[in-house]
Amino acid sequence: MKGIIFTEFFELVDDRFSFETTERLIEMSHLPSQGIYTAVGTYDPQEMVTIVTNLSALTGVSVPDLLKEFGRYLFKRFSISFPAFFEGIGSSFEFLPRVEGYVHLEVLKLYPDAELPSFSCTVPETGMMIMTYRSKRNLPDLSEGLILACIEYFGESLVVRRETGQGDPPETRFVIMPK
Amino acid sequence: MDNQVKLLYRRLDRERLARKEAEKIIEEKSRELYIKNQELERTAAAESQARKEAEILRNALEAFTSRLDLDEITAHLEEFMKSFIPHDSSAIYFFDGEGLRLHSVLGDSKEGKVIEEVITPTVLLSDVKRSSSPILILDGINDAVASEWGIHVETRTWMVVPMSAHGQNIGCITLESRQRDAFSESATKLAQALSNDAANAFENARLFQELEQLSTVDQLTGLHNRWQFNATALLEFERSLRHDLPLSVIMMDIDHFKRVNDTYGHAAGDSVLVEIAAVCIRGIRSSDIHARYGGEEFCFLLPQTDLNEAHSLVERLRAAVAELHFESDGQDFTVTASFGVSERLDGEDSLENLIERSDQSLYEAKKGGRNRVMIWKPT
Repeated sequence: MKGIIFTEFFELVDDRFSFETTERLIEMSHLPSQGIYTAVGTYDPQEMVTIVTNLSALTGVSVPDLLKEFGRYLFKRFSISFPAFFEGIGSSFEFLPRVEGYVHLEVLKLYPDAELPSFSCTVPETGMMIMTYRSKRNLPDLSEGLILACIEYFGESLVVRRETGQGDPPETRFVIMPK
Repeated sequence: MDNQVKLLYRRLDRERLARKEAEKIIEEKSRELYIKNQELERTAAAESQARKEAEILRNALEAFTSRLDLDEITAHLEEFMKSFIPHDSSAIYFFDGEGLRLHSVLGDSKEGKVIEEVITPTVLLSDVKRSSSPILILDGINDAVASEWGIHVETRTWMVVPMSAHGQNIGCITLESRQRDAFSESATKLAQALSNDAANAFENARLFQELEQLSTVDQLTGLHNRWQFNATALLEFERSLRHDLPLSVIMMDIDHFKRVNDTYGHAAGDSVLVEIAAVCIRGIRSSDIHARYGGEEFCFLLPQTDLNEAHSLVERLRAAVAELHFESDGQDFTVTASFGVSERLDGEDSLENLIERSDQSLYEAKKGGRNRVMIWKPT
């Protein structure tokens, strides 16, 4: 897992909870990396599991909620750091299908060894989109947070329903439709 | 408060370490990129070299296949070898029965002699005949093969490249250099490829020559070919000798014909040959014998014609040629021709000598500035 995910996560913990929470979290997690992450480095994804689990224990917020929140947070950061991806795009239904083909392509240019999840989008009927998420990491909560933040970004009133499908780890279908 | 400061320090410490790590990673990445970049540069250089060689071969092949004249092919082969494989002298040999016939030598005469001495051993001959790849002597003075062959090689590096056409070695090319280890692997490969292209061209030229000898007319110009000319001219010559009738021979050569080919292309060169031949046929009498004697060399035998009559006829031919206008790709150009004329001398019984004298006069006409007629005079 890329170091930038860890540093972003600690930023979130700083903002949402406190600077002391972050420090305690790192201390109690006994991480092989000792909590020293650099954006360009690659780290064991198990460290993220430990950190999120410990944060949940420390704060009483459930792991799924923490991941969802992290997803939202990442999207916001992303939209600020990379406005170019949003140029000429007016809705989630326009943006989401571009994640796989465009955004991830750009990510791979910078991090050729990044193991990226796959997002495939279909439009079964007008006004509805199904985004199927498959990842070795299996973090559907994080994805849900990202999708929700995207909808908020475009100021749309859409709901997201989640269905778990087949596979190991199982794929997750996000059905996005009007409220 | 104290605790907060402590935590802050810890964080700063971590960030410092993270920065160090980042620097290390970036340094490593730039090193990787540097190596990759160098690899790419090397690949690009190799590719460009390969492209260059392919280009040479394509040009060579084009030059070879568009020619059916032994001397032209030889000149082109030598030119290509000279341009792309540095060497001091070269020679082209053809297998001839059990032996080897020297076809041409390029380079200074001393080196030329060396080649002839070197090539003679029959041991070597059979080796070249069998070989499908170049034989290299990298250090002529100390080479084991060279001493086994019992030859003294004055040149340092010597390469024999077999010429293979349709799976059979028809001869070889030798390249010499006074430098030690002068021929690289790629030069050797290039020499082999060139020699095989040339071999096919030589073989085609030989077949064409055989075919030409079987036919009587030059396909391009409609003039008789040299062999037909020699046969009929001999009959006329003997008749004139028998009846003591005058007889003249005109040799003609188009001026700067190579320049026409080089400037306007071979198609233009061909049309020049065709038109000039047509003008000449119109200008001579039906009883006269004509021939395309060589590439751009025409020959006319005029029975019952003395030198004065021949002179006025040939002067008309010269003017008619100079008046012709040609066009190629929107460019107009004209050409001229030089002529040499000679008459059968009293009691002269050799047609060859007569032709030879006309040829000498033609040479004088060329020397005298071209676009002119020279009449043979005894010196």
